[in-house]
Amino acid sequence: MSICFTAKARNLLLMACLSFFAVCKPSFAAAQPAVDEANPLMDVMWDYMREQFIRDEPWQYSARVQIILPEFAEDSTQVPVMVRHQIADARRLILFADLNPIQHIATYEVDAGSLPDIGLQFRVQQATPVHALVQDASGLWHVGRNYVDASGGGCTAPKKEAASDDWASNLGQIEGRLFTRNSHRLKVQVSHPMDTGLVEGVPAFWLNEITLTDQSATALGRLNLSAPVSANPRLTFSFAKESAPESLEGYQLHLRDNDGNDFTSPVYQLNGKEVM
Amino acid sequence: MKSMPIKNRLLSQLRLTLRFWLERLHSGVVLVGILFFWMLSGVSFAATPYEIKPVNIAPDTWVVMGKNEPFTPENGGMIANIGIILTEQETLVFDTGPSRAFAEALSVWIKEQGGGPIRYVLNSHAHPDHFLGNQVFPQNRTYSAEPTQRMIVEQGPDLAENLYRMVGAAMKGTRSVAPGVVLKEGVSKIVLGSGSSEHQLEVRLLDGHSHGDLILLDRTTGVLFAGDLVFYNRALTTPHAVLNDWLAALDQLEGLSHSLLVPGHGPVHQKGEGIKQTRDYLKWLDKSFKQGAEEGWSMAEMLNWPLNPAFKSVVMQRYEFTRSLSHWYPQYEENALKQ
Ligand SMILES: [Zn+2]
Repeated sequence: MSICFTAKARNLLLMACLSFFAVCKPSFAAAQPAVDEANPLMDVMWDYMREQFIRDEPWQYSARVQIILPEFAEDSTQVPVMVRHQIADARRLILFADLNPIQHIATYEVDAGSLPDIGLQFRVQQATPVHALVQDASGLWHVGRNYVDASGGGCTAPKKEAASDDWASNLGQIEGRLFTRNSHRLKVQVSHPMDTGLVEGVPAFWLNEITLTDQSATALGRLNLSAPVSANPRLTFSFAKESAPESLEGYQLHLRDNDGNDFTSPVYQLNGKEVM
Repeated sequence: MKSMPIKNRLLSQLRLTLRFWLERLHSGVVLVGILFFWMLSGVSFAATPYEIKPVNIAPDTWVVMGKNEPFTPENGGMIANIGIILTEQETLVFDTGPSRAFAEALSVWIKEQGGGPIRYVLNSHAHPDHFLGNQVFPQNRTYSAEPTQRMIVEQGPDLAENLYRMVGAAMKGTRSVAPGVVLKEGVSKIVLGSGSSEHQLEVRLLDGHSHGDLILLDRTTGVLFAGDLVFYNRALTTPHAVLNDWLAALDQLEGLSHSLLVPGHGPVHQKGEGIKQTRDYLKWLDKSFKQGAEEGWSMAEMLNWPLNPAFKSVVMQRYEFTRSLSHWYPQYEENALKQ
């Protein structure tokens, strides 16, 4: 191929594009996070996605919502993400990846107590912005954003997810543990194929509803997952100790998939013992 | 291992869906965005000519020093150290580099140096920066461990494709060719050259960095080519690594009498330092992941795990830590949850 752009031509084009973005830049006054100001893909879908998820509800960018992501996806089927926030009175969290074919990753709604920091792994199809929207009790959405590049390190072949042959035998099996050193941190791994339904001949089959309760099945919050969440999800819920309801003695998970299968975890007791 | 081409179908399906949305919604912006990216990335469409400047480290013994960088279009994927033992009668190459163009440049250089025909081509293991020059050399003179050959047969084309994506034009014409000869377990002895330039060589098969790591010891010069079992002042990589096997392999390397060690990545050095650093670094990774999992940190939070100041001479640590986290941490998390 003999197409070869010179550096000069490239710079000219660069200038043209920069001015294009300068003109088109949205003019809202809210403070934008400093990250990736120059990343042209960051806002490509934002207006559209926002409309889908929060319609015309009030929002602002906020440094108090942080999305921890790697700079690049070493394994595009298992990209780690954690959303941390310092929003008082947070009621709801929506997490999505703008350039995934199924953008929605997870939504958490608070029933009692506080909105935990939430960690999980998800699939990406290409480099994509990731947005986390946290709504406070006044209805205002606080928006954090980040970006993950999809090209991995190179010593691994592009990963083909193995067909989940043996899922039936351990479907819904839950390994979990409550860590109480600095926070109430519940970490679980659930055996589930999390099929997206985008593969021909493999129907969508994923855990979609998870209810987090206290020891007596009183709901603390509900987590809705979408199919981009990685197979055999490992979920972390981290609650500030001081925001725990007074009656709290332990945490329990009630899970359901889109096929109607129900799974229940043991109660993870704050004193460290598990009770069935 | 049974695997289906699910991902490929998934990806093409996803790509179609995505393209549909993007075209409908923001085609103009996306086009400009892509152009913008291309300009920033500075990818050149002209082939990268490799500048091969092997360093003479011992009699008849040369190393093309890889760059301590990730794969980029600029370095053409030339990131691993490639060894050459060159005599008038015959020549050996230890690993073949990332691409056809690289291996061709290497062949030209060997001829210019007056090296004899290439009699032995060794593949230390099945990572793309080490074997994708194979096609330039005779397949029936290319040797590896059995797992290496198998992995190149099974995954070589995917690995090459992946490298095309990251390196681009320099990969032109490269295709994956598996070694023609599998070496037996244990020690294979080779005599290379004759007369004053005779080299008594030993090839050994170990594992740990990959499932089949081949090393070469030149008893005549005391040079040990350790492949990727040793990294020195460059953070090690773990995509197919098995911790305990790797540690055991390092013990074996330490027991081999040698005066100069050529690591897979990083500078050639005296006996000991690289082996010790690789071992310490592996143990530190293991300890960090164990501690992180025991304290309940999520994989994302672990991205910010503090690096160890003891390794301040080691480059690319954060980058490789991020990768190793992906390769290894899930197993540590699972172990911690099962307690
Ligand atoms: Zn390697």
